[in-house]
Amino acid sequence: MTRILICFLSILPFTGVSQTTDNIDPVAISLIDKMGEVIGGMEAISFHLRSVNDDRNQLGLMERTFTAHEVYFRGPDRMAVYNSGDKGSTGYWYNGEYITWYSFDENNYVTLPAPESIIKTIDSVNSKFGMEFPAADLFYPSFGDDLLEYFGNVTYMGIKNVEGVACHHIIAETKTDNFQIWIENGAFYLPKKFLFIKKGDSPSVVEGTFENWDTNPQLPDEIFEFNPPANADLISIMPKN
Amino acid sequence: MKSVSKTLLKIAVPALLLLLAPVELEAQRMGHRSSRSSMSRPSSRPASTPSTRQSRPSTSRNTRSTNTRATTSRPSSKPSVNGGYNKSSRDVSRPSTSTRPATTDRSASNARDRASSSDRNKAVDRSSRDKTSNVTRPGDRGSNTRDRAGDRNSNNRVNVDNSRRGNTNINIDNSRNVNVNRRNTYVRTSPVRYTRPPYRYGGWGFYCHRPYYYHPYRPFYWGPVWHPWGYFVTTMVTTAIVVSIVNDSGQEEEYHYDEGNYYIKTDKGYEVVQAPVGATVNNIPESAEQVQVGDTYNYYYGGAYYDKTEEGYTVVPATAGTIVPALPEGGEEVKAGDRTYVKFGDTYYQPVQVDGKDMYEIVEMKEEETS
Repeated sequence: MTRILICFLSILPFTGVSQTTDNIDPVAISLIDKMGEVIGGMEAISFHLRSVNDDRNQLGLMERTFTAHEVYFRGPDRMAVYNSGDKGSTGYWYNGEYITWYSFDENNYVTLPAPESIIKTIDSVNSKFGMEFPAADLFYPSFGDDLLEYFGNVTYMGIKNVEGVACHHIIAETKTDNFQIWIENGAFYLPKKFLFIKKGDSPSVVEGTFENWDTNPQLPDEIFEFNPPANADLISIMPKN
Repeated sequence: MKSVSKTLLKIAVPALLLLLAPVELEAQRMGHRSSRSSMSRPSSRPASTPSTRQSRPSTSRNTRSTNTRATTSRPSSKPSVNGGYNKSSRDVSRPSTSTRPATTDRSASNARDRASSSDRNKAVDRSSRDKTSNVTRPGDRGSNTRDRAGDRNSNNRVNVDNSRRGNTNINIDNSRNVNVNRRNTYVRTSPVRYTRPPYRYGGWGFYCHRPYYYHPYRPFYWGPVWHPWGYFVTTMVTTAIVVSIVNDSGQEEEYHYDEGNYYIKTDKGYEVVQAPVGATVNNIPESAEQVQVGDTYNYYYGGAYYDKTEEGYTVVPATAGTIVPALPEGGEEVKAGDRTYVKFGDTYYQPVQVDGKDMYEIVEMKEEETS
């Protein structure tokens, strides 16, 4: 997801996506800001996320994959993520100094020195090694700015019901991309669902649904420390070209 | 005149209080912190009335952040999961954005976070974190080295046959790194066209004939007469022959060959190295296996590939698509995206399964345009 948005932002100057026809709905932006500020004000959060990805696979066929994520953040420098689904079972542990990427299927892991905050770490390992984090875009402090910068059309669509939860529905769109988000109409304005559609010759869809938000979890240091299982191999890693 | 002023004051003050009260009550109900309580709950919460969308009370942002919420400001020791929300470049026509004092708050917050992070890091037990992964890319010179002292298998896999060599002083110098010579690890293009699309990662295409099937890399040992790279002896056995090749720089390199092992002379003795491409020997160990390379075959022994010629057996580079049953010591497992390959210099091996057996296929790597 992060990669997609970064990619979009990087090609922006060349594609000439027009900002001259901006149609920015203030209510939509205020809701995005509200969500961002609530998240930005939290010291620790945990949630589950179900993600669905439609993408061209190695054989060139559109393939849908499902992944379940279990995410724990404790600001500013602790993170643990468990991923399980069609692309295998993996986990990330970030303890403020190192980030470890472990494959449960292969019983091997990569450990790298990491920057001093969650967001910088996500940004760093995503850009260098392609490590992907579920719904990372929504947790960027500049999420609202990024949305405005790229999407010329941001519209508030009203209240919608998502799996029994009343949510504010917002759509942002360009000629090539469509982003939708459903923000809970509750006290915390937490994201309930998001959808990223890439149109054009190589379409892709990323959809995520949040569950089990805990906005004030007690997360001890131990859960952010990676302890290699028996016979697990520390291996090397190849950076992106 | 004074009485009129007093009357106006009496009316204006309660009215002002009434106007402010809902905002404050609402903010408290939502548990906002002063440093970031820039927005009240959107009045369009029912969301069915577009006309209310413009009614965002943006001016409350300044009021709260600078005055009324000062006493409840966020304690400086509280770290945020993302350093605090940042909306520095709002372009939407909202008057409040120009005067929003958010920048100060954010920098202070970031400073707090950094300080907090630093303090916390001091408490981290670093003793268990003395090993991190090697970052290696195709073509990295010298990156494919292994610290033998730290090699998980180096202690129990090397079989030194002292009886066979009499009093020869044989040992492995664990202080050395095993350097993989790239000249001997470049890959020739597969003679067979690929029907399977490549695995793409980071601007590279990893071409293989067989699907990826992971199994952990465990170096293979070709019996007691074979020695892994880095194996060290102080004196050379009398049965060894001298093999000379001319390297890419036009200089002659001299190796000592004995039973599938190639040694180079060092200051203190002789060290086993990779088979040098271009070297020709009269014979290779009987345990060498035939591996198919397109329509022909190579012989494979100890990680080296041989072409059988009239002169004997000539060391040749690896050919992409070749399937080998095992790999020697000296490689490193490398994570590339979701996959794990074994790398020897410029040669990448993909773990595969053939007839139920774990094997490796030599990968053909092509630099591709990043989409």
